[in-house]
This record gives sequence, structure tokens and C-alpha cells, in this order.
Amino acid sequence: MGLRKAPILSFLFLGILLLLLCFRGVFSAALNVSNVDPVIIVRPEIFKFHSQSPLYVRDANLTITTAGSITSVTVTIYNDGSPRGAVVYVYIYDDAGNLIGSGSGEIKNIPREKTRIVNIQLTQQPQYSTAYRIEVSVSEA
Amino acid sequence: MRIMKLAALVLFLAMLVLAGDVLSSLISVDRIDALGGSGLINVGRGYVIVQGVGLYYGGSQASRFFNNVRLTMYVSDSSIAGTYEVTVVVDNGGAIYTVTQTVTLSTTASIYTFSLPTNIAQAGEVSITVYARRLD
Repeated sequence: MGLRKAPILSFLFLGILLLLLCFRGVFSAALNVSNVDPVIIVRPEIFKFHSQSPLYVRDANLTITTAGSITSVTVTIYNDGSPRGAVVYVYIYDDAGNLIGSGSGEIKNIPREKTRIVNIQLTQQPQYSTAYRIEVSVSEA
Repeated sequence: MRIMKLAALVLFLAMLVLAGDVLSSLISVDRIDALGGSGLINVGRGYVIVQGVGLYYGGSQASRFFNNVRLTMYVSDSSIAGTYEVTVVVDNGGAIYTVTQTVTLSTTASIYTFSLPTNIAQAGEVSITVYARRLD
């Protein structure tokens, strides 16, 4: 009797083993899904400051409306030399490198070793979600 | 006859194994490292917004040196508020500095300071790249 049941038990064991193997991928995938982070995209991802000694871009701050539009950029410029004026340009690019927003502003006089702030209104007002790179440049007026 | 039945059973079980693998491949997901440069992943739910970037020397901006970067950041939606690992890569005229720290982001803009390992003389071109990875 015992000898007759042995093959049946063996195949039953084999069957259970194969069933576990069968669902191994499903278990594995379920575990992976629970550990996966959601897509969190940083926008804008890059800020680039172009300075021209003795004028330095030190800060760029976006004004974003509740609807998600970037309307202006507030820029801080530092003057490391004698008093002078400055012209500031802001460019906003999307992922593909297309210019999607820009603007410029002027600071009449920045005293020696002081900072001055200028608010630059953008001619186009792109959505922050499309803004990949912000570039700010300064040159002497 | 018995052998045939056993063979059919083994074949059936093998087909179940294959079906399981197919199902798993359908529901599993892979990392998409290039997405947004953020090293993140599969289901889009929102944005980490970098509202502003400032270069500071200590607590001052009146210098051509800087040793910390201050980011003003928030998230676009309360459903993605939480703890993030934020990495800032500063490219100062070709010299690269990387700082990573854990921050808690909400829908309200806050300023986060990322200290750099040294005092840096600001180059003509400075690039600040921000990456974020959600931790919770």
C-alpha cells in the first residue's frame, strides 16, 4: 500500500512545486510594484548663471501663478567692482531646447560690493511643467 | 496509460509556469533612469518645483564666492508631499560639486540650504542641476 502511494505523493509534491514556480513571477512583480516610486519630475531642472566680471548673477527666483504660469523672474546681481549699471537677460527652455520664455531688465547703478535685485517680466509666460532650463545672464549696461 | 496522464499533467503545469511568467511581465515595471534626469520611475503623479536658486557665501550674497546653495522648493500636489532625497549638482566652470540631503517637501514653498565642501570663486558660467527622489 505504502509502495503504491509513493509515486502519487511524489507527483503531488512535484505539482505543488510547479504551482509555486508558476506564481513566482506574479509575486515578484507585485513586490516590485509596491516598492516603485511614482514619477517625480523636477521643474525646472537646471538653472544656469552667466556672469561677466565684475557682475555676478547670484539668485534667480520664479514667480509662478496658481495656474502654473511663470510670469516673472527676480534676479539678484552682485557687483564686485566699481559702481556700474547692468543689463540682465532671462531665457527659459523646454526639454527639447526650445526657447519658451524670455525677458530682460536693467539696473541703473550697483554700488561697489553690493547686490541689487531686478524683477524681469517675461514676454511669454510658459507653464512651469514645461520649463526645463532657466538661463540668466548679466552684462554691463 | 498512467504515464500518458502524468505526462499531460506535467505539460499542463509547465504551461501554467509560462502563463505566470507572461502575466508577471505584463504587470511588472522597470526603472526609467533617464526620465526627467531624476532617476525615477513609472507612474507620473506630479512635480517637484524649484522656484528659486541662490548662491550664498555664508548668509550673504554680496560676494563673488559661495559655499552654499539655497533652493526654494515645493511640490505641485499634496498627494506627493513627503520626504525626498534631493541632489544638487553645481558645475562651476567645469568643476563639479555634488551635495545630497533629505528634505521634507510640501505644497508651500520653503528654502533649503545645501552646504558645499569648500569656498568657491564664482566662475563666468555656473550651472545648478537639481534631482529629487521620493523616499516615502
